[in-house]
Amino acid sequence: MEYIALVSWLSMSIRLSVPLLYTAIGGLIVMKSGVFNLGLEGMMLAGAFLGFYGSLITGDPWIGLLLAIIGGAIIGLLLAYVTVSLGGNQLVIGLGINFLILGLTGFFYRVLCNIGLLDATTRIANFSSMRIPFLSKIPGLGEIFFVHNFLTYLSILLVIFVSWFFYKTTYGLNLRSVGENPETADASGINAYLVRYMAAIASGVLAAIGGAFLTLTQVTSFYENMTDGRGWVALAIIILGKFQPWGMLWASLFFGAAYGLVYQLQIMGIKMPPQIMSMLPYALTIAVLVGVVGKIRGPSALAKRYIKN
Amino acid sequence: MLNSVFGNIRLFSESFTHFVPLVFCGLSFAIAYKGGFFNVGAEGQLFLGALTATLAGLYIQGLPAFIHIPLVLLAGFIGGAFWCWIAGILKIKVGTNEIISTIILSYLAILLVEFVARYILRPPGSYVSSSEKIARSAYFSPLIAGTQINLGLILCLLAVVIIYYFLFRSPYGYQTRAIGENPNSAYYAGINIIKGTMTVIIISGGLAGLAAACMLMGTHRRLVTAFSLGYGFQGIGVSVMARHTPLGIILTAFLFSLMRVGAGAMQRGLGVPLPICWAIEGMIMILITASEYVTNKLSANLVGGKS
Repeated sequence: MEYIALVSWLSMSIRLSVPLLYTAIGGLIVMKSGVFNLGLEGMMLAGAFLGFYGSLITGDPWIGLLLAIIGGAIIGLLLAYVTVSLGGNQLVIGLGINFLILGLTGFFYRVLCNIGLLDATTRIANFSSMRIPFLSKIPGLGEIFFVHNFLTYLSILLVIFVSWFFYKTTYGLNLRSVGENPETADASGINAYLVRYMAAIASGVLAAIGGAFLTLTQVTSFYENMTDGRGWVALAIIILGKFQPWGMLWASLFFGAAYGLVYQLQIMGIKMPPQIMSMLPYALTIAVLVGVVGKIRGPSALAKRYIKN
Repeated sequence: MLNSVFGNIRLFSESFTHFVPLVFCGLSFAIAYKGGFFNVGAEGQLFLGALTATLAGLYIQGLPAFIHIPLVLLAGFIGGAFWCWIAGILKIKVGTNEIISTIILSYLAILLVEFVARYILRPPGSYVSSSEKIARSAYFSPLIAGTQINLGLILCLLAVVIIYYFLFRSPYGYQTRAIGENPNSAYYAGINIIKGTMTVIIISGGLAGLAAACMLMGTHRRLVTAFSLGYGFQGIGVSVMARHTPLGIILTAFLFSLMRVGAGAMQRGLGVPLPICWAIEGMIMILITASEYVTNKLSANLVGGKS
């Protein structure tokens, strides 16, 4: 009994950490370029809704994922346009994006319900788990690590790719230098505006994939404000991971385990008020912020306005 | 929508139930913003203020109203200020980003109030997850009979005047704004940054708590699980649209409260839902941020003589 519970908890922890990891990596890329993205929560929610919508209409989760990616890119473009081209306040625009998306997804969800396209019991087509041949047969470990859908495996590749991109390529170096000092970067011939645009779009796309992961693999339905603060937890993951992709992988597994523990305790029938259990991930976030922050240095030009002369 | 807002006096007076908390929450964001503290957790501070105000309203009995009402207000202020103080002390002592900490503390406070209302303060045998009603001596009675206009309206307008005086007419406000503009130069000018920031943080959280106390005594009269439907978050939009000026907040809070009444009426009549309010708030914030560029450009051209 304990063995089965442990295996299911660890497997669930990995599944729950993936949307956090995608969103956090998205946030990291744009923050490394010097733009503070407070709109992660909204981008994630947009991805969740568009993924759900695409799969609902066409019955194909790939269309849902594609819609989520397009939607995320558009929101990223909006963020970049207002913060980079217009030099607007990065914090206010991020919050504005959150409210806008919260309202739009809630509104369109109700419209879909009203015209009878869906009700509370509607389930959509989703990505199924892949069993890796041979490896998934290993007792225990196989169930935990090798029975997941392709987006989970892709997230590990994403971490490898991003850490290679940041520290081994010229483009990555350019991106980081724009985040540290855009004036100097511009003087040395890097197009700081273009770099920030690209980073913001990448961040929107990744956060939207993180959101789409929720609807296309886990819940297979949508409800209003379903991300429920995961975008903010992703920001905490960036800080706990010390702005390093590998550190963020461990940090998101840690938070995935916290979310997983909430569900696992409910499955095991532990009698505790659900509100107290739901507090766990948030309380951990505060504890983590108290424990590690202060020794961590983000990009120097983060959240600062940069206007080219 | 306009017809339903202005159409009858009862609905019009209903807008004041939204107006009071929106003004308090808008002021809460504005004063923190001026002091360089980005407090986006007014919602959670409001919930915690609701909790402490309810405790003061429930367990202090047998006082005359003119003592009891200030006590409940004070309890709400302390609750909200305490929740914001946590975020402030985290920022000052360990350098935690206040945006993340205030918003996460909000989620915690909302869950905490839901838990307390459902399991601790619920009277035995009741099926409704809310506390008992607070003592009658802590009720706001309507100033105009038959409407929702009560003491909360006077209090929030008073708060606007006090915050305006504090920010723009007092040395403390000057220091606050100096810290918000540039903490380094404020430090070299000899301003005590920690003290100044802490003052602003406590006032900011306390204002959100006052919103809760006024809602408690004016409308809810008990601790309910969904105590505030996003007033704390809409306060951000109210403040941004007013460009963080106290007098402007009166106008924008009124606009937002009309929108909320209208959305409620539309929801009843036509099936147009509350989320539209959120979308409009988001759009306003994006457009205001974008329009800063135009105004900056205009003033730069005028001052620089380049026009």
